[in-house]
Amino acid sequence: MKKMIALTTAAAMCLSLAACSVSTSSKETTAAETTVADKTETAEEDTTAAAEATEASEAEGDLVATADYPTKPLTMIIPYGAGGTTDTWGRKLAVLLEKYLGQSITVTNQGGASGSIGSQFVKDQPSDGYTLLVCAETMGTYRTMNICDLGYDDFTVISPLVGDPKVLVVGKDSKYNTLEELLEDIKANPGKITMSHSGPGGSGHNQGLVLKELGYEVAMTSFDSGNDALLGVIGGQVDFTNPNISTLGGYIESGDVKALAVFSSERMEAYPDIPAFTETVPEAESYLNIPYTLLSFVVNKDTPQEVVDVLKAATEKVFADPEWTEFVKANAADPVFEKYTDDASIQEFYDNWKSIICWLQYENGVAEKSPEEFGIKKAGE
Amino acid sequence: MLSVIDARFILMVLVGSVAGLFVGAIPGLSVSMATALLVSITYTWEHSDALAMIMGVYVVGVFSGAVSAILINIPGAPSSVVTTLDGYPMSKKGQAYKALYTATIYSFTGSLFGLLALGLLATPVSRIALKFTKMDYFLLAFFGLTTVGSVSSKNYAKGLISVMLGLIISMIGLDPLMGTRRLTFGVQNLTGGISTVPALVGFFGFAEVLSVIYNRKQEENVLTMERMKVSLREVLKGWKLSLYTSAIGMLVGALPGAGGPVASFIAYNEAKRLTKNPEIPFGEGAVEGIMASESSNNACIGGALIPMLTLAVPGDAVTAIILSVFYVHGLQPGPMFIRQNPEAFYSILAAGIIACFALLALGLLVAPRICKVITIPKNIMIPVVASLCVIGSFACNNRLFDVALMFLFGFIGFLMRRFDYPVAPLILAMVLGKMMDSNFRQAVSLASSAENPLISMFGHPFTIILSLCSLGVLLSNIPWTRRYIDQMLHRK
Amino acid sequence: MKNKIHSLIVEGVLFCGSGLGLLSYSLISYGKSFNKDWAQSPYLFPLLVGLAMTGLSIWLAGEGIQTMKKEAVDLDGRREAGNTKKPIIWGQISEVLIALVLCGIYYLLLVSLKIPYVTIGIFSFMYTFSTFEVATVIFLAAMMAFMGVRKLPILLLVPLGTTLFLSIAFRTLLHVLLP
Repeated sequence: MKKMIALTTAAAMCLSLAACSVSTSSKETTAAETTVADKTETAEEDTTAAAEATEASEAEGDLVATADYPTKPLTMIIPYGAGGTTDTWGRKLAVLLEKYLGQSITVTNQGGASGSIGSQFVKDQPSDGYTLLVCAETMGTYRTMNICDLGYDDFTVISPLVGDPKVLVVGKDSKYNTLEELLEDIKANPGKITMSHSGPGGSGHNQGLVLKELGYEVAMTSFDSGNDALLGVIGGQVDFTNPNISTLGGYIESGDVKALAVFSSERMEAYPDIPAFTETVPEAESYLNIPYTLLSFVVNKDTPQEVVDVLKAATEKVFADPEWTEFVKANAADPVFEKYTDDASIQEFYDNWKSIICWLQYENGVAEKSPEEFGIKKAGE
Repeated sequence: MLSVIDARFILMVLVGSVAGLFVGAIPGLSVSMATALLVSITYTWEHSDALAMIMGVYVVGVFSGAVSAILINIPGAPSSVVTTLDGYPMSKKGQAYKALYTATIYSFTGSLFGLLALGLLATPVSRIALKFTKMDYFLLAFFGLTTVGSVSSKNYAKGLISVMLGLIISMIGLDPLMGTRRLTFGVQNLTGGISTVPALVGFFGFAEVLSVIYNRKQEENVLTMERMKVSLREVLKGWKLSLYTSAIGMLVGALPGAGGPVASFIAYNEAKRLTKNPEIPFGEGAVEGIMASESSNNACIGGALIPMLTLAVPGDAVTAIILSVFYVHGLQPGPMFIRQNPEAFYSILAAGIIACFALLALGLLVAPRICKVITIPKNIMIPVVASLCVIGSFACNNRLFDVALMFLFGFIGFLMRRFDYPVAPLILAMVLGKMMDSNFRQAVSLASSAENPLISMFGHPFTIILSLCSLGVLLSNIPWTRRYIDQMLHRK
Repeated sequence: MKNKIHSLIVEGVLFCGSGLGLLSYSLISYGKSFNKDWAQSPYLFPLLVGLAMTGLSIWLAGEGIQTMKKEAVDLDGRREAGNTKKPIIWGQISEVLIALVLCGIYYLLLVSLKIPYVTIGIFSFMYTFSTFEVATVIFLAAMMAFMGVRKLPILLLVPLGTTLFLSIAFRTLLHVLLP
């Protein structure tokens, strides 16, 4: 008898738990999906995401979907953990894409191994355009770094997204006040000035290699992330670093760091006071015309052309959306998507990017395999 | 501050709290998974609503990890590992209600302490965190590992060996700095490393399943429950200890990367050191153990939010996801954040504090009901737990490979229990391994370009304190040196 | 008992082996790696752990030898030491193995069985089930039967109820991809 009572209580508990969560989640979903239209009575009854989103966007007349695609919810894989640059931009893109595709997009983070695990997962999915991937620049260097056998040519690039400008900074108590002072000291003490970066093969490291190519040898230490590298500088453990502008914002304002230069050939719109690197070192021009941190929106290679066209059309609409343009501005991002709109220029852009970065890494002993093995030609040859 | 609180806001926190209770209590469903899911759901909401719900999930979810730890010996998250040490023995004795009650009260005080510290001390604490060098982070984790003596009283060497096994498991996969494959032996599935969830579920949950099957001829099929009445005054006796361990939790939580597991181990060690005559020995069902563990791991919440808000460095997996909520809503955490966005800061604080009270209410409401779970006959409960283990280990990465790993870990965990090797240190080491590895190498690398490498490595004040602490704990636990120290003291 | 080697010594030797194995693994891998710099080498930490592991195993074995000596001298000590040890009982181990085999079958079912998704709509509530649900019901029933549940209603209802609860919680509400 006791057993039975216990069992029934357990069962009742399970049921009540289930009941609670059913009610909470229906609230969650309805609330999430009815932001375009106000919460209406009918929405309560109609629970499928697709129907609602379709209704909402059809009302606006922005839908680019065809009869064949997309007919069911999509998945977007972010091959990095939640909270990073890739994640932030990927989620923004997903929400705006939903509006134009008329289907919900579930964003899933599959982090680890420089983003290769999530990318491999997408590669293993059917090429039907229902699994999307937002990848970072490491996609171009997996093969030469011997991380995995993936590259941009395993995917169809819908569009490059944005680049995150890199800024050279020192701590507020640092003895360096200008880029010249820092560079002179590096020349005087080769291998003694410490620089932290976000990880081997990453954008910060590549930048350190460019410095080396230009004759400035620094002692590089790999930190856990770009932000971690920045805190090393603020905490006074490292001399200088080169974070993405998106992680830097507040620190310039609070005066914890001094920004010496933006690692590019032109100044940023949002921070016109920070000089461009080439103003001091003009010979760096040839290295600095590409974005070092680069996000791309891709799907599997064999995805049917009609599907790719739908995605491209939807992405173009996203780029024109004021919510997107404001977000780009607020994050001081480099709008790479504006420059490369047709297939040929996108292809050329990636080829050029790979040849500069892969050879840079290989010649400095960072990449394990020669880019030649993978048919990547050296720039200018 | 009052302007951000309205009925809708409170409702959001409550909904989040209920979800947190559910998610935290089911092994394998982690709070970080739930918050990640919430991020996609709450994307288009007002940020105060989104934060309210996420804080509800976070605060209550950390507490409810203790529920499964106490009732079925499977910690909901690594930070509840220490709670199993005394919680499960208590429920085996039929004191599940008392254990849950204690856990609720002290989770409440711990969370409240942490959040108040966040409200009052955010800036000074973040300055301390900035002064921590790479070597200090390594030493902090190392110090946490040396305290495993307190959870493996029988044989310190066995505790340390379990630590080493955990470190070895953490090394499998791509190394955190270079991305080189280590110890994968060509197995593609190992490249991504071994996640904590399959290990946690395997070493605790599945090992428990096997142990029960092994012992089922000797042990009773049904556990009996003791009379359910616990006086609040009796439970509140430990308030001094709780304040002290909450402070430990808050400070350790504020140091990114270490977080709840280290805090609860250090707190447990301190509780054991300070409680001279516990009514029941530690490890056999001492309420002090639950007090220390729960107040410290909940105080970590407030602590972990400090570096996230002021330095944009997440203190643990959940704050990493909260950080993405901020970015998504166009808020930029950093040194200027509290000054520039006071309403976002206060809505986090308010949501957290409301969630504390929701925790108290839910805990007191649910505890007397849910503790009846232990009266379910084992031959029904154990198969259910086994299937929970499977789904839990699968859900974290959507890989069947993790399920196989979970079975393997379960068997190893079972053998370790048979031979008296504690499992808790292994989990702690596994969680800390990657962080120790990268911080140590960074410290060595930074020092190698300095004039005097040794001074650059050990010359900082925190480094000296932490080295001395770890050395002290190590020496006092090794039998030969302990004997020597005892002799010295006697001679005096 | 006297002639039997203390289990601590056996364990010590075992862990010593694994420690030395790790040591040689990290040294060999370092030798093969193309980036020769100990400070940032991925094999620095494994090397240290390997060293520590070897040291600890010697300590463990040392303790084993000490207890054995004590046991030889002091007969009472043996009883004490015997109490802390829990010898493996083979009859019970076989039950654990059977349970493991059951789990193994469950795992194989999850891997190899491919049941298409079946979706049932009840009012506006969609319930989908597939391989996981079928396999879990079978596994739960088998496991319970193995553990001595003999009442048919429980054998049927509990697995069905649990599975339904799990799949609603995970698949329907949390959108976790289940096998």
